[in-house]
Amino acid sequence: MNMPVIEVRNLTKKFDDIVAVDELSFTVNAADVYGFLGQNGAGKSTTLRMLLSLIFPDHGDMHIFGMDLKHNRREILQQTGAVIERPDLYKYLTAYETLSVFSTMSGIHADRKRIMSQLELVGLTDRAEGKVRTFSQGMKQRLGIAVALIHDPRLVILDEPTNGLDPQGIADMRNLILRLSREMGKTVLVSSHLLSEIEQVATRMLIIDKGRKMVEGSVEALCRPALKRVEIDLADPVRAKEILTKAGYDIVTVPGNHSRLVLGIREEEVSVVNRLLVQNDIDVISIRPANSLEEYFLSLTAGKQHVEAYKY
Amino acid sequence: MWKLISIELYKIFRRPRTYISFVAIGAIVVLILLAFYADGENYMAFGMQALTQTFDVQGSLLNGYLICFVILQTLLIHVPLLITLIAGDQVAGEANMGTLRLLLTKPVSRSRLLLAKFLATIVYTLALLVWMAFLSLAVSILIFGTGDLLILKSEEVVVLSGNDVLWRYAGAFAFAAIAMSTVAALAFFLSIFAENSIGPIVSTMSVIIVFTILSSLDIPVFNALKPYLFTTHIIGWKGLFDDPVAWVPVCKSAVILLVHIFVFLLASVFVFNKKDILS
Repeated sequence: MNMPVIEVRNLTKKFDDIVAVDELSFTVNAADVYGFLGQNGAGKSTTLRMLLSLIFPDHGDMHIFGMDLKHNRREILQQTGAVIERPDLYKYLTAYETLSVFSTMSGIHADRKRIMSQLELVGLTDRAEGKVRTFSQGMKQRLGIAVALIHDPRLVILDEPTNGLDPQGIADMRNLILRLSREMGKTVLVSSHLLSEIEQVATRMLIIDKGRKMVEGSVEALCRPALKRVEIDLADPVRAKEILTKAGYDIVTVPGNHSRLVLGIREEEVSVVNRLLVQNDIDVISIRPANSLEEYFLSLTAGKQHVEAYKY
Repeated sequence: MWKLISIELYKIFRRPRTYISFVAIGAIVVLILLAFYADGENYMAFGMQALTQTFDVQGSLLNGYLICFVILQTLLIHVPLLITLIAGDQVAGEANMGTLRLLLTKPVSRSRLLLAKFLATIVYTLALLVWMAFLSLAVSILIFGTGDLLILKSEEVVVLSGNDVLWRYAGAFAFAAIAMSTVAALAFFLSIFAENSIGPIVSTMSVIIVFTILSSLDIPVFNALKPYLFTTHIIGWKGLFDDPVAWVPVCKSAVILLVHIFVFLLASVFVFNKKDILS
């Protein structure tokens, strides 16, 4: 089941002179909860909007379920559900009517039972006949997710789903994402500007800054606190990557620097890795432990985000 | 497609603001009817002063047909505002509410969605006109009965015999449907560029006001422009009350308006299909 659900290659989008997304490539595998991390304005929303063909890229390819988004938009969207930014819905409709309208738009006919079961999933059964205008932010967010899930999509894209939620709402959202992935087998792509959010739900993650990929890898490898982020500069990173992967190390490559590999390992393992590379005739130019991922991410998201990160 | 249209209609007719136009038209027509009912004879006497000096007018000319004509003449100029309220909101309103991005992540092509929205807008426009026709014609006739229709023009007086009038109204309302759809199509087109509906509503009304002024000023430079302004053709329904009807200019105006609708719609689809949704 490790077929890629999303494959993005060299995705680029400019708004006037500002490069919002810059040669971005990444892969999301089936049943991943893929975390998309970056500060506000890093290009997360632009990328997610491009994946939903709300925004058209300047160049680059996007394949979803193995189909080219340019040519198979409808087929892809039929199996995709999304909440992008604020969960805005028609204020004058009730929760039930909202789901009914959007199930029709998704090309399915949802009967009463199905709609009610969706409302139950997000805990809104008792507000089925309530108008959206009377809903709290958290309820709107949950109804938005019910809308995204009404046609039982394989891929769920959530853009900053915890924004504006209270601590209870954030916890509920986290559980819902885990349920989607573990119990319902859906692939989830979730963005956030908070490392802690991603850390708790994602299996793999990508950090972007100014539209560029910074690091990509499994959350386990990136976030284990005992691990150090070790940067190795090499003459032949491609072969080194092969050897290290075979030896069971989780590798994070740094784009833009083609001679560097980044590993998450314990400090005492540094010499083991070094020996392994030398024994395989690979010239190691330099090898040094860098700071932890958290420190690294905080250095990317300086300023305001610090304060916000403390709040939660 | 039918499902999409019905969803759009559902959205239009679930909103209270949609009914403002119906209430507004209802109120104005009822007011006019009341005024005629209370004081119609005096009004007629005053309006006919010039005529009664030269002609011998027998019987009352105050009837449902005449009142409908008066209502149409005063009201049709203002109906575009009511049409724009909804048409200008179709895309811009969704962008403003933030629902446009959700709508466009559904597996429906943008062209189809836009077409559904446009057709729903036209249904609203037609509903408004049917409502107006019912009030101004049916209710007027019910209260004041029918009779010969006498129309005063700047240089002539047209008298249409009572049994020769109804089909002209049918034609006039059909023509008005095309004219108002043109206004709707313009507002709809402008709606695509905006992220709240005030922009398209104000700009559509501005275009109509400026064009109408150009259409009505009798200055040679403007006269050359007139055939190219759609506002010149919007009032083409009056041609149906000539005797005999000058079919060529009436039909020509109708065709020009239809071409406008088509072009606005085509441009809408073209622009919308290329648009990055950032709202």
